Parts: sequence; C-alpha cells; structure tokens
Amino acid sequence: MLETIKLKKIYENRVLAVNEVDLKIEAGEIFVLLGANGAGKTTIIMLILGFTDPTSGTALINGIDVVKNPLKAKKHVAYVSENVILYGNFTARQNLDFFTKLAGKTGLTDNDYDKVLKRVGLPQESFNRRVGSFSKGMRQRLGIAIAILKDTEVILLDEPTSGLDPKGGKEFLDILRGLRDENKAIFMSSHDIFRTKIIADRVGIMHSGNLVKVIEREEMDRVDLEELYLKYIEV
Amino acid sequence: MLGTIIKKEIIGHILSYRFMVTFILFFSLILISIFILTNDYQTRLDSYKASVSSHKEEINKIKAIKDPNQACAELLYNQGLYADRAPKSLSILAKGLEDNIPEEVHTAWWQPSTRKLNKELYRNPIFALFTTPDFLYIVNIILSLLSLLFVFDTICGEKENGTLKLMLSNSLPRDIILLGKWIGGYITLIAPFLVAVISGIIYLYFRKVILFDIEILSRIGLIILTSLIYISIFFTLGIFISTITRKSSTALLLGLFIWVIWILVIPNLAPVISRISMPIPTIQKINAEKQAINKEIEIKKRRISRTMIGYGKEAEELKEELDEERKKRIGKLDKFYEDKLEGQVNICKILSRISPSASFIYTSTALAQTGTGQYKIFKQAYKRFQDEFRAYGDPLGKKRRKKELKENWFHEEELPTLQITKVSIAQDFPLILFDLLLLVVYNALFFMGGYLFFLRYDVR
Amino acid sequence: MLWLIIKKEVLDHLLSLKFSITCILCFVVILSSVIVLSRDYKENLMDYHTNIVMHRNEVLSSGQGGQAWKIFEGIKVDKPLNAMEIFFRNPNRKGNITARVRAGDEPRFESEYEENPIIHLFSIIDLRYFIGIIMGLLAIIFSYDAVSGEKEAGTLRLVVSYSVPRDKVLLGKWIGGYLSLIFPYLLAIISGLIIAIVSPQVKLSGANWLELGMIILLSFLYISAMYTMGLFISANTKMASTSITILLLIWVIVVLVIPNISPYLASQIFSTPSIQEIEKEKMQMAKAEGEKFHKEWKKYNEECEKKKIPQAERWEGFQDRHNKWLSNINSEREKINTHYKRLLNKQVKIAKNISRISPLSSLNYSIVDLAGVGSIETDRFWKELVRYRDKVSNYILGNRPEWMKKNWKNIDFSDYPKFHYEESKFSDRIRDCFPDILVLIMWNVIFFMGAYLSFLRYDVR
Repeated sequence: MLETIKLKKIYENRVLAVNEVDLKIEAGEIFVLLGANGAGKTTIIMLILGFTDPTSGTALINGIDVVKNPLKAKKHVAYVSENVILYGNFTARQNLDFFTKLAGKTGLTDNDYDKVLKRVGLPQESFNRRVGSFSKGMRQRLGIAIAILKDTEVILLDEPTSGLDPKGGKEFLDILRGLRDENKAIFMSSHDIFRTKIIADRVGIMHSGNLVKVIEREEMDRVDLEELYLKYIEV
Repeated sequence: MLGTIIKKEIIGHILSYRFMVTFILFFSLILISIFILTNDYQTRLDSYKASVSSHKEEINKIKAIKDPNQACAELLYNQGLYADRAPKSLSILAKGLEDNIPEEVHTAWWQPSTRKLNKELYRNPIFALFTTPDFLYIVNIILSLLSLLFVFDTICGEKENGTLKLMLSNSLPRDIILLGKWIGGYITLIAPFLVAVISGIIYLYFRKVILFDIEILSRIGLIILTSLIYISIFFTLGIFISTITRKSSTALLLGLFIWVIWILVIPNLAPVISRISMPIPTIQKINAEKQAINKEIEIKKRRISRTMIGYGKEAEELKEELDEERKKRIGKLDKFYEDKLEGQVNICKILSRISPSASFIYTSTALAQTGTGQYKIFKQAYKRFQDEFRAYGDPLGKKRRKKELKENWFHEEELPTLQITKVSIAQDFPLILFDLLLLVVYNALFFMGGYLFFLRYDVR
Repeated sequence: MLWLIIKKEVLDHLLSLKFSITCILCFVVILSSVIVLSRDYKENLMDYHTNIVMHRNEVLSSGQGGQAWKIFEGIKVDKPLNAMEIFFRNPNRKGNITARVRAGDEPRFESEYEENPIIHLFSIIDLRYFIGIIMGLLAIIFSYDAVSGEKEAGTLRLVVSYSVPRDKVLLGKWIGGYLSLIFPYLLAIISGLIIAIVSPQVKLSGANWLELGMIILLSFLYISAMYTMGLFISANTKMASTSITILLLIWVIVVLVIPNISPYLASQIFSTPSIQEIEKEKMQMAKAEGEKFHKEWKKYNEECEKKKIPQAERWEGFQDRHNKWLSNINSEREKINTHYKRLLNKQVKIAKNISRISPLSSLNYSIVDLAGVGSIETDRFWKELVRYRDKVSNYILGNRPEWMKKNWKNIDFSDYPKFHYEESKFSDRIRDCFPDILVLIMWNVIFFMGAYLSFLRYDVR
C-alpha cells in the first residue's frame, strides 16, 4: 500500500507544485488522480519514486519511507511512465527481459514473457520486433507488461491511457481490473475523466498543487464526475 | 514565397544556439590562426632579413681580402655562395610546403662543402607532431565539420518536430522549400565566416606585414572564394544527408562518418598509396649513378692525358667531348628522376582528389604560392643557381690557377643570384581551374541528390 | 545487478548504428594504414640496405686510384630503420635518414628536398593519428547519449524506479559502453599486428612488443578519458542533441585546435635563435679558430725556420696543430649546439605544458617517445653521430701521415670505423612518459568523479 503524509514540494523557482497532500491507497484499490496539466499529479509520482526530494512530508511504500530508504522502497513499486520510448534497438522480449532481471527476478522463460505480452494485448509477431518500430500505444502496452512482471504491491501509472485507441483503452482497463484482483494498490494519474469514472475506486482532484477533493466510489455513482471536476478546478 | 522561407530559415538559425556557437568558433579560430601565423611569418621574415644581411657581410669580407688569389679561393672553394629565399607572405593563410622549401641555399665549388642546414635539430619537434593551424587547416578540417553540423538535421529535424508536415500542407512546391532552406542556411553560415575573415584581413592590413597590392588582394579573394565553395560542399552534403535519413541522430552519425572518411582518411592515405604504387629510386641512388658516370669520364680523360701526349689540341677536344657526354648523361638521369617524381606526384594528386579536401588544399596552396608548383619552381631556381655559380667560377678558377687574376677581379653584381620565377595570378589560375571545377561539381552533385531525395521524402 | 546493466549496455551498443560505424572505421582505417605503411616500410628497408652497401662501397672505392684524399669528403651513414614505423610514423622525417660525417665538420643530414612534396601537404595516417583523432571522436559518440539519451527515451526514469543504486547504473553504463567501444578497436589492432607480423620484412623485437603493449594501454587510457568526458557532459545535459553539440565543440577545440596552436604560442612566448643565427655563430667561431690556427702555424713555421728543423719533422708539428684545431672546432660547435638545445628544450617544455590541457597531446608525446620516433631518438642518433664523427676524425687524422707517404694512392680503407646504432631502450623511452601517463589518469579520474557526482543528482524527470 501507498501513503503520503503532508507531502509538499516547492521547486527552486518557488513554484508550489504539491501542497501538503495526504493520500492513502490500500491494496486492491485503484486510485486515480485527476487534474489539469501542471496541477502537480506527475510531481506526486516523482516524489513517491524519489526522483525528486520533497520539501517536507513523507511518502511511504509498504510503510517504507522513500527518502530514507529509497532502494528498499522501490522494490515494492512498479512504474509506468507517460510516453515511454524504451530501448529502441531491443526487441519487446529483450526489453522485458532486462527490466525483469533488473527487478531481481530470474528464471523466467520466454514463455512467461510471451504470456505477459499477450496479456497486455501485443500481437505475437511483435514480440521479436525492435521496439524502435513500435507505435506509441504498443510501447505503452509494453511498459505495462514491464510493470506487471515486476510484480509489486504498488503500481504507479503516469497518464497511461494517453496513447491508447478506444480498443486499447478498454483492454487496458481489463488489465487494471485484473491487477486489482491480484490485490495490488494502483495509483494512476490521468485527465481522462471517462475512463476514470469506469475504473476508479476512488478519485482525487488536484488543482495547483492541492488535493482539493477525494471522491469515494459510492459518491461517484451519484455525481457527474466531469461537472464536479470542472467545478473544483475553477476555484 | 521563396523569400518567406529564406527569411524563416535565417531567423530560425540566428535564434538557435548553434548559430551562436558557430559564430564564436569561426570568429575566434580564424582570428587566432591569422594572429599566430602572422607572428610566425614576422619571425621568419626577420630571420630572412638577418640572413640576407649576414650573407652580404660574408661577401664584403671577401672583398676585403687584398690578395685576389686568396680571395677567389675563399669564395669558390671555401665559403661558397649563399642565397636566401624570402618567405611567402600568403603563407599566413596557407603554409603549405613553406617549411619544406629551404629558406637558405648554399653552393660551393667543391660539392661536399655545400652546406646543408640540419633543420630537424633546430626545430621544436612539437611543430611536426600537429598540423599547422593556418586558415587553410581551419577551413579544411574544422569549418567543414561545423558546416556539416550546422545543417545535418535541417529536413529530418523538421520532420521530427512535425513542422515539415505543417509546411508541406500549404501549397508549396518542395523544390522551393529546399532552395529556400539552402539559401537561408548558407547565408547564415557564411555571414559569420565572412565577418571573421574580413576582420582577419583588416588586422593583417594594420599589422603592415604584407604589402597589399592587386595581385595579393586577388589571391586572397580567390582563396576566400574557394573556401566558400568548399564550405558549401559540406553544407550541401549536410542537407543531402538530412533528406536521406528519418532521424536526426542517424543523420548526425552518418554525417560524421562521411566526414571522417572523406576528410581525415582518404587524403591522408593517398600519398603513401601512390608512393608504394609507383616507387621511385632514392636520390642517393641517383647520386651514386651520377658519381659512377663522373668516375667513368674521369678515367677516360686520364687515359687520354696518358696516351695522347703531344696531341695538345686534339686531346683537349676529346676531353671536351667527354665533358659534353657527361653533361648529357647526367642530364638524362636527372630527367629520368624528374619524370618519375612527376609521375608519382600526379598519381598522388589524382588519388587524393577523391576527397574535396585535397582539391581545396591544392587550390589554396597554389593561390598562396606555397604549393607543389612553387616547390618545383624553387627546385629549378636552385639548380640554376648552382649551374650559374659553376659557370661563374669556372673561368675565375682557371685564371686563378694561371695566376692571372687582377686586383679588380671581383664584381658583386656578377655573382649569380637565386632567381625564383615570379608567377602571376593569371598564370596560376589555369592550374587551379580543374580543382575549382571539381569543388563545384561536388556541390552540384549533393544538391541534385538532396533535391531528388527531398522530392520523395516521406514526411510522416 | 551490475553485470545485468553491463550486458544490457553492451547489447544496446552492439545493435546500434554507431557500433557498425565504429567497426567499419576501425577495421578499414587501421588495416589499410598498417598494410600501406608496412609496404612503405618494405620499400624503405630495401633502400636502406642498398644505401648501406652503396655508402660502404663509396668509401672503399675512394681508396683506389689516386684520389684517396676524397675520404675527407665524408662518410655517409644510414640510420637503421625502426620497425615501429609501420604503426607510428616519424613526424619529423618521412623516409630514410642518411647523414654525411666528415672529419672537420658536424654531421649533416642529407636533404630530403628532392622527394615527393605532396607527402608534406597531408598528415599521414598512422595509429597515432587514428587513436588520437578518430578514436577520440568515436569515444564521445559512444557516450554522448548515455545519460541524456536515456532520459529522453524515458528509460532512465524507469531504470531508477527499480531498486538499483545510481552509482551501479553509472558504473554499468561506463563499463558496458567502454567495452563495446574498445572491442572493435582492439580486434582491429590485433588484426593489424597480425598483418605486420606476417609480412616477412618486419621484425619486431621483444622491446618493440613491450612498447606496443604500453602504447595500447595508453590508448585505452586516452580513449577512456574522452569516453568519460562524454559521460560527464551527458550527465550534465537534458537532451542528447545538446550533449553531442557541446562534445563536438570540445572535441574540435581539444583535439583539433589546442595541440596545434601550442607550439606556435610557445615559440612566441619564448623564442629561440633561428637556425641561420646559429649557423652564423658557428661560422664565426670556425673563422676565428681558423685564423688562430693560421697564426699559430705561421709562428711555428718561423720558429722552425730559425731552428732549421727539416721539412718532415715540421710536417708532424703541423699535423698535431691541425688535428687539435679540428677537434677544437668540433667541440666548440657541439657547445653551441648544446646551448641551443637547452633553449629549445625550454620552448618545447612550454609548448608541452600549454598543450597538456588536451589529453590528445599527452597521448601523442608518450606515443612518439615510446615508439622511438620522437625527439629522444633524434637526440640520441645525433649524439651517436657526433661520437662516430670523432671516431672517423681519429681514423683519418691518425692514418694521415701513412697515407701521405703513399701519396694518397691505392689505400685500403677497409678498416674504417663502422657505424653502429642501437635504438634507445624501453626503460629510457618510458621514463619521459610518466607525467603524461599521470595526466591521462588524472583526466579519467576527474571526468569520472564529475560524471558520478552529476549523475547522483541528475534529474531524471
């Protein structure tokens, strides 16, 4: 599970990117952070991954402080970044192989890789193709496959649906549901309200660094998410 | 329409940091180079002047010797005659073979007392380790690279940014786009170059080391023109490369690869290849053969002296005939060597011309009068100088032996001088025309290539 | 973990365009250079052997007939060829070195002025050129995008989201990239060496192998300095295109400009007398000594006249004085040379120190010293020539009375001193390289530290 406590980030240019955000995502839950460009969604993910140090506050992965114990914390989190290009000279399998081994998992066979690749919806013929020739959506799927194989308790996804076509989007949601059923804590940033509504267990709305609203599942069925979102970011 | 594209190109380039870098590099490199080589030229000029005056002193010392026999012996057999070669002023821009042509030559009656300078002992060995950083080198190696880097991504970069699609969605013919890119880019590239060169020339003018006359100015002008054509080859090559690649990183690698092979490898391999493909005998072998001829003639002469005692006139005639024969045979040997050497030089030139760098070097050294032509001219002048000294000394020596020398035997103006044939630019021009044309042809080829590929360029 | 990253780096490079380009360049340039230069060496070796025979015959045959005094015209000797020239050309001299040694003069090198001038217009490609310029360029091409390129591709973010320490990532990158750069280079060098060994004329001595090994080690240091510099710049830029632009700029300045302008700067900071001035000084000295000798001889003659000493004895006295005069002139000339050499060395030192900002210079200085094609060898050869000149002088002047008696007719010169020259030993050659080796190591350490520190704080976002 993932937790942030009064997480705050002020950049060198004095821009307040994240203002004392408290979040808690439990295992088996999909949390979606909605917000406009520059609202601070990505910064939160960067803070959780320790790519940048928080001005104050803490982020915990499985109860491990990411600032104090970054390497240990990162063992429990997988990350799917926006627009990942990956190693263009490698095939899909080679990319998968490298990152899986990087996670310390050995003994996986091509069969295991193929299974995951199939699960994310990559066609068989592309397994041995150079990733350099992949389309944006295919790379995104591969990125998710990499995260799945890391097999961690927490998964962070940064705008994962941005490169997907409608069919791909639907398949992606199925994958997410599968992961939720595997009892993972899923944290995802997005501005795709439509898909958020379908998949999210809880939704947070960010506006200029502040987490202005957290909407629970039951509330979501009652309200119009889009209206709510627009209402909050206009404040 | 074309104007709009040219303007966009120029503004786009000027605002990029690449332009700033190019500008600073062009400016500092060219000025540093001219500054350093002007000082170098000044040093050589001073030492030339010192050398001339010290050689004049030597002559005056001979004049001061009262006894004509002793003075004549001193001049012919002991001291000999020195001659100096003035350094070429345009070696500031293209040093070429300037360091390989002797600054000072010496001749004496007795061949071994001909003094040669042990140059390699007196020169800072670091000089030989690295190429002279003259204007020629800066343009040949550095500016060619920089111009390639200036444009290597002009098409594929715009493709990556998506602006190419945007541009082509208007009703613009592709050839206009390419032409506009070429003109606009080239103008922004050569503007800093010209600014730097002109500042360099102005510096030279105020240093007052070179006499600026029409001849020198037109030579400088032609060197600059050649440089412009040369730079444009790489500029056009860059555009060509960017039309055959889809990613700018690929274009960069390809450009560097071609540049390394074309500029660093081919011209530097060609001379050795031509040397082994057409070996010539060493000068020592030729000299040994000459000595053998001399010996043979001497033996024949001695036999005449021994056997034809009493036939005074006939014997003399026969001996003169032998001398004639010796001259002919040695001349033939010299010609054989010269022809072989010429053949090797020609092969070398042809081979190296695969690279425009060689054409550029040949053209600019010819224009700066520091090239192979000048080398040959100097060699002829030196030979003439030696021959004239013999012709001058021959009667004097005979008179001395007969003790017929008078008080006023010595006339300084009769002494042979090193006459290096002056070549005007009008005479030089036909020689460089071929290389100049070759440079233009490379330009045309790459432009055509770029044009053809751009017409079919996949903008997706 | 480290091994995994290394493996990935190597594989990534092997599949890249730059690797193919590196392979092509290494093999094409090294092999063609070695083939061409060993053919050239063969030609030179043939010339050298004919020269030796020719020059010995010249001496021997000059004894026959009535003109044996021609031995005063000098004996020509040749510098043995250095087998290392197949890989490293002598930058000062192209071709064979012949010197004429005369009793009363300093040794004079035969001019190469008669040969093909075009050779001088270009810099011949040998291994020194290849390593210094081309490998230096390839090294930065290999590392320019190591960090910034992965950042752009997003893989850097992904990699550091795993529990891998950053120093391991950097070290893995360094090792992997360096190995894939060195591999084709080493392979090409080894093929070049094989070609060189296979050609029958080339005999590399044990010391040569040691020198070659040392030079290859040095080249590893140089290449890694340039490579690590690329990594350092890459770890300080956000875009691969920025890092390559900066690196090419640095490469141009460090490899193509600084070394080239340094000797000119040094000669303008600390100027030495020109060759003409020194020649003039020597000539004046010789003239003054000559006049002294003439005076002394006159005085001696007059004394002899007074004492009525017979002609034959007088001749002996003359010879003693003449011999003394000649050796005097020789040693005075050497003094002038030594003095000048000291000044020149100062200038060389300044030039070297200025140029050492560029790792290329350090590489070049140690290569020419180690390969025996630099000034150490020239100086050594010169000293040997001077020693030989003294031997020749002793031989000629010592035997002169006897030859005089024979009236310079049919004299057997077969016992004339032979010229032996041995190249400097490995231990001498390496001694001067230490500062440059240290400088190269220093560049490696500085750049790696810099890259390390920057990468730890590198913003992967």
